[in-house]
Amino acid sequence: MIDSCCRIIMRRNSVAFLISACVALAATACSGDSQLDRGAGAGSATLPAQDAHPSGPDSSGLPAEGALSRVPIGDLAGANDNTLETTVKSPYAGNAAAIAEGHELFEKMNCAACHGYGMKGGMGPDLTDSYWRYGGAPADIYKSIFEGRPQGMPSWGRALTPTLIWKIVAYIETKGGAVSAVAADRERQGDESESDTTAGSTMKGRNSAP
Amino acid sequence: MRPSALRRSGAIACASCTWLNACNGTSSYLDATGASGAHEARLGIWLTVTACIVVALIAIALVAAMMRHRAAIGDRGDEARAAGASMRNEIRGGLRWIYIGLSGTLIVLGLTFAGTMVTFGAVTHPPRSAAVIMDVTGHQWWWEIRYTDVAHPERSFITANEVHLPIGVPVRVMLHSADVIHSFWLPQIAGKTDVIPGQTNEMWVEARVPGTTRGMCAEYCGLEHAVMALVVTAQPRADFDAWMRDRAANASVPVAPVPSQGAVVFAASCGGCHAVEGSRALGRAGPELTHIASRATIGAGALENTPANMRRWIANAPSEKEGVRMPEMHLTGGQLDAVVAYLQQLR
Amino acid sequence: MKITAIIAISFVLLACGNREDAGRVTADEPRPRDARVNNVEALSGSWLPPGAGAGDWAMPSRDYAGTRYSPLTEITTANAGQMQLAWTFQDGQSSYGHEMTPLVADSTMYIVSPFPDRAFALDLTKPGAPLKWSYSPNPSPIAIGKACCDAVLRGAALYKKKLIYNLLDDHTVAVDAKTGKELWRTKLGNVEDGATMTMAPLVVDGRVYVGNSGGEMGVAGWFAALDVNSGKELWRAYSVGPDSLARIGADFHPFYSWMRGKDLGATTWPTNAWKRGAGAPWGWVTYDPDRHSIYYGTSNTGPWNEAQRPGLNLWTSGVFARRASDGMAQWAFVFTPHNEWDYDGVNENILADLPINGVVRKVMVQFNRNGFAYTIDRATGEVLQAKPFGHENWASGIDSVTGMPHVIPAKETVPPGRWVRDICPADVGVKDFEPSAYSPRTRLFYVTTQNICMDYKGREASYIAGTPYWGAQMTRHVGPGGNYGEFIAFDAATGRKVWGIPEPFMTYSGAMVTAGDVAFYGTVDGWFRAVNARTGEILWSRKLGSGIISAPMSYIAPDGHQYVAIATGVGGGAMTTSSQKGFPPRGDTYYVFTLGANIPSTPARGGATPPASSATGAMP
Repeated sequence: MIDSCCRIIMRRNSVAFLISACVALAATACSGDSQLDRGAGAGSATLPAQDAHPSGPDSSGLPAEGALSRVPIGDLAGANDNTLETTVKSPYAGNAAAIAEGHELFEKMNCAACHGYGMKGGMGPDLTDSYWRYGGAPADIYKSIFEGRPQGMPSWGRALTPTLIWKIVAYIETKGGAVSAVAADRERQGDESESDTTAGSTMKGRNSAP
Repeated sequence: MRPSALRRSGAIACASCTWLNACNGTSSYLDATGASGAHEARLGIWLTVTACIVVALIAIALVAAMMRHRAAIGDRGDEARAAGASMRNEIRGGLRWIYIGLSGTLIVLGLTFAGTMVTFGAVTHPPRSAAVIMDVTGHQWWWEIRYTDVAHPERSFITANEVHLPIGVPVRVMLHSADVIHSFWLPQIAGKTDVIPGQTNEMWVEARVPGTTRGMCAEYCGLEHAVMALVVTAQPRADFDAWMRDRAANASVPVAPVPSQGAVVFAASCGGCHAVEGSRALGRAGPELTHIASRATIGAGALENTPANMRRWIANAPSEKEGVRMPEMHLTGGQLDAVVAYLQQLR
Repeated sequence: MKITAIIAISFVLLACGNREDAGRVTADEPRPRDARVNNVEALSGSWLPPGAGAGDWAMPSRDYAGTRYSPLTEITTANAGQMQLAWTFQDGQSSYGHEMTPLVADSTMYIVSPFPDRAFALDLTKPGAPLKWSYSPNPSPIAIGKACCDAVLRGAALYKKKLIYNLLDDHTVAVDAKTGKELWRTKLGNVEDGATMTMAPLVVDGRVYVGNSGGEMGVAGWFAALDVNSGKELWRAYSVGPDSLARIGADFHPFYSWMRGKDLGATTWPTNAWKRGAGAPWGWVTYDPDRHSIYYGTSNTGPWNEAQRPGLNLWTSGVFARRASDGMAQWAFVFTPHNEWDYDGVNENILADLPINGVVRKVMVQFNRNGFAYTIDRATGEVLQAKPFGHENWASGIDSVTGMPHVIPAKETVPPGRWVRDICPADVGVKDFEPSAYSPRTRLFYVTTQNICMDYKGREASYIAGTPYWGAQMTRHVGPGGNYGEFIAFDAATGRKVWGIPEPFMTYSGAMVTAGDVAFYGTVDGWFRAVNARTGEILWSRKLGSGIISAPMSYIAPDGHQYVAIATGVGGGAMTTSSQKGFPPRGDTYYVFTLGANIPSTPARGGATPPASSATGAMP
């Protein structure tokens, strides 16, 4: 009984009936006729033009195609020139709308089924800890998603656009496991990974030594 | 009341209010074509007519009282005596009018209350057990609908942004939300019911008149709330059953080279989000597309379903529906043509 | 016949001299066998792989009936407390769980590791059992990420000097047991699509029976027979789909009417959903040589989210009886129709003759994931007994007319997207794949059980080939009593638990029982125990290097004594409790025990030290 009462209350139309009189009738009965006929662009003109990702860059702000292929996976033997590439910034880092979309994609693309809904791992590795087989900098994570990895990580480069992959990267970064590009660069040099660039002057000195 | 009579009454009610003279589009709930919608329309018309009568009576009584009082003030005979008698008479007569007015109001309110309760009862439970269950899931900004035949639960299938209803058969509707609050509304067939994340609301619908109408989201749910429409087709049971069988079957497999190439591109680039049963593309993030070619619209009512519109949509959906989750696809012109050719033969 | 002859020879040898004499025989002479073998109740002849002696263990369950019963009697309830470590072996693959059972035949122990699925042969005739050969098949590493529950391998089969086992990347290989050379390798599936292989094959009459894994990956389960000499696929029977794929024909006679009809493997699903409906036979296979039938179970239904597959979803979460020769189905039974909780049906079907209501019936017993112990007439598929063997709260019982569970509505996972609290058992079941043992002496089954419940939320799953098709979010917690595990003795004829030993950690090892009335099991925190099979009294315990999720076995070494072997290396489904305080790290060590008196007090010849003459005999 209570259940059906609740359901009645939830029926907003019925409540509306009780409180509406002739005037309200006029307003509700005739609304929203023409949306079915809305053609390309028509109708949306009445909405304020709004960027779905206000604070994020548009697609032209993404790293250039091919730039990531120069990001090294392993050590840097004979590849010093490439180290700068690891400092590619995550274009959506901290962007709440993009992170929310990345979260949704993380679940819908079955990432959560392997890495866990809380990214604590399962079939696939934990993404919240500091251990990254293929690097934890944003560019490394992007590459892992885009290209896939040999132990069963599928390649998503065709199923997802670069924009979507960067949004997933932004979501992964929120779980604390990802390392900054600078710290990742240091790790490759064999130094301890300290997130702050000013910490440990000797380390900095070693890094910047020719 | 028969639907035609109902429509007539609706028209009369509308005509009684001159600003309602345009109420015959595909979204007017007074133009009811469904069972619960008919109950609601009847109640709506009763409330309208009653309210109009009440307003008219009050206006008449007010005018009459003013006239009568003016006449009484003009008659100044034996002033002192007459004033006392008139006061007593007026009190006596006024009390009588209060009794009459109050009881009249109570009767009207009582009838309204009873009518409302009867309508609630009629729309809460279907008159007989539903033969078909529709699980409707609201997404930003489209509808996912799973049909289940109650007698054969395994004969279920998923479609998107289209609702088909068998005439004279109650359909149970279970409402789920994948993200925010929406409201499911088939204006001419049944009232709105909220679609709330984390809970399942139930309603039922029964179409009575064949035809195509429009359904929509009736609760603001974000940027593209206005473009979250459903095409509602009410059809005789036999046609509906044929539609169910057709939808439950696999999509046609392309044979010509261009659509075949499109199928390959689709599986690789679109299959993460979209499903075409019988192919390797079986994603659930976006709308089901197994029989997309036989649907009337693209993008939950954003565009009419034509090859040219579909090409535009796939190339850059956000330019057609700004907030849509589908990204700009980086496909070459040839790939686009192939995917469109593939989708256009999915009947 | 052969066994009797060996026993007779052993008697003669023992009568002639002491242990040292027996050990000094050369390789050309018949190997001595300890007389302490009780073959009265043990299965023999056609119930054992060809050529397997009483002291051998040539297949994971030792016999085709799946009993894991050893007829050896040297270790008894009286002396089990004197067991000592004889030697150890490490396979170097500590990254993944060790679920296999070592095999022994021809004075050699055969071990297969988890991924990368290496095989090792250890020479038992020499002290410390040195490596004879090893074999590296190098399977594709992609398979690691496609295995739902660790890159495990559940064992191998020995058949006429061939070691046959599955690789995680969907291949079956045969290796020459003498040399370690690969004889054939057959590809059976595409690992990129999520199918893997983890089960131990069964080999009967020249046919290798194998099945796939991948119940969480949207695969269609299949079971295949290969030719043992060439590796050629003979036939393949799917667990889902129309009768033609499921190898269901005119001879198919399920006991219950709801399983009779045409193409039920397809029509009890929404269109096409069976194609990714799982039913992967990743567990154990048993064989009845009298009826020439094989029995195996099918996995959970895919995806776990039941809303995506209305219908009964046959033949997942069930068991098939098939003709061993051509694989045509004889009967089937589905334990958990329209499975909403991941209760796979793959657990071992132990074949036994049990007195049911005063009449001895030929039955198969399965301790199902769903918490019920099913005693089923193996000729007809009729459920004779179905009683809970641990804590469960999802069903009030099994219907005696239909065999279907009476599901408690509050534990149904409908609709998805809402948490359903405290469903017992959890997805790992009251018992998972870890095999039980049956002693014909006590007529009891020895079962390691789990006491874990779950909060469950169904989620919409997308099928994206090569990624999980799972559709569930869960948290698990310990059940009533606070003990994660319990080792029990169960009377399957009456459906009654006889005794139980609660354990603070999961009991996820297989079990073994011997003719000495000693039962063995291990725990996830690394305790290996021997208990009195009749009373449940703990006779002996040793803490090993890692958690135990493999199954113990027992054999007679060339020295004539009984040994017990077990692999450690926690992993697999046991990782569901890895957040438990005190959960051990992974490992990769095999431990071999025997009575202390059998172990020489001084080291046998080792390294460059010349052998001491007194020790040579003890460990030749």
